[in-house]
Amino acid sequence: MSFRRIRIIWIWILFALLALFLLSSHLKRTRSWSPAEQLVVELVAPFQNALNKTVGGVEAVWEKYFGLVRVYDDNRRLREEIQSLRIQNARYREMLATHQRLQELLQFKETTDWPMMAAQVIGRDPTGWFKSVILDKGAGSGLAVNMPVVSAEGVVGRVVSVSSNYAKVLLIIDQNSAVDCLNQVTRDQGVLRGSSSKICELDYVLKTSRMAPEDLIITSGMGRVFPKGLPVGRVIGVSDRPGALFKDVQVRPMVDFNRLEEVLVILKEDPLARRPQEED
Amino acid sequence: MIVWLVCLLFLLVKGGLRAMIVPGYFDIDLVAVTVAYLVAWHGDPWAGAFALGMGLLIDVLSAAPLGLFSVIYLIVFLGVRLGDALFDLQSFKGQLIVVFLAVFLKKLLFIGFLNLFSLRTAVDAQVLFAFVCSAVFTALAAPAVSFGYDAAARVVDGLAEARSSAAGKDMDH
Repeated sequence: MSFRRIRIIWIWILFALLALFLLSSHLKRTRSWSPAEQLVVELVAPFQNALNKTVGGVEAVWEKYFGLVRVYDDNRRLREEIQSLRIQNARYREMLATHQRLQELLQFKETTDWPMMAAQVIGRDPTGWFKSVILDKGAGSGLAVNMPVVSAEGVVGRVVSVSSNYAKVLLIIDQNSAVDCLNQVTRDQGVLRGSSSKICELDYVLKTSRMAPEDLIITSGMGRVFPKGLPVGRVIGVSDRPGALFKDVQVRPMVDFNRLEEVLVILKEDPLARRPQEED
Repeated sequence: MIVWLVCLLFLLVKGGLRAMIVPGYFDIDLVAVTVAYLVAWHGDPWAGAFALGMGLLIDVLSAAPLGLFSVIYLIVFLGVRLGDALFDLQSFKGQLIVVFLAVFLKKLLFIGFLNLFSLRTAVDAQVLFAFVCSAVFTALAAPAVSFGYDAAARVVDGLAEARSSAAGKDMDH
């Protein structure tokens, strides 16, 4: 081993011993930097600061400018993602709304003893003068003429035509419709007639009646088509014209016919069709 | 064939659209426009059959007494036929006048028939205004609809021609 090599080893040992000495001498010390250390720090720190800022600046430039290269792609991807999520959201909302409507129908179905068949509205009267809807169930599903049709809100109408897979329902707001009804509060009777608008009229209400706005109108069961006690609408106006035989009563149906989507058909045998057989 | 298909689709969606967006008794009568188009360009038998067919279809789909719209559209056809004798139905102006009169006549006839069937129909100024608006907008739509039918017919003819020429080439091969 050469002398030069031995000298280098000794220098390294010396450095190590110095480091160990410094380490051991500062182990129990809690004071701040020594003046010499402070001097070193004061000299070095500005460079460190400048260096840090430069690195930070470069990093910012890299991120802000060079990173923009990716932003266009990211933006497009995110827009597509937002669009897709919006469509998904709309679908979920629609599903939720359908679920709520079906749940209401189900709750209504559970409160009654009549056998019922759920059906969907697939078409509406094209004329505007008459009020009817087409259902996606027909004779094949057990539907027959004169079966009452209801929704969770109240009476919708009655089946007037059936084919094997479809049925036409005359709504209670149609001018051809007449439903025998009762005032739930006063028990006054009347015939609810449609006028092809959103408001129906309750005919043949006696002058002695104490009918008032907000009274609930229900089916009387007298017409033999609708079971007794189904909600039909609420009284919105009562007038007593001098010289008229009956009171003029306006009723707003419980069902919003413009938003009718699902209904329940009460699978009740047609009493009017049974009459000839009974007579036989 | 195209006019039948277009009107059939229109009638099927019309009820739903009415419930969503169209106020009151306002109504664009595509059937009356199509009857006028057929009278002008394709002759009476086609127009008469179309009027009767669409009337029957509306009768089936609606809660109207069966036959009501068949009769009304046949009368509209006769009205258009009469209008064709008085005005040039193939001109823009003639189409406007005849379709306006036909639709307005149809509306009045409809009220007449409803009263004949003892149905409640309150005809007030608002309803009459809706009738006039319907007739005006339907008349304004008539030339555009006729143009649309012609364009669609040309497209279909072109496709048929292309298909037949392709079939001819196949036969040659």
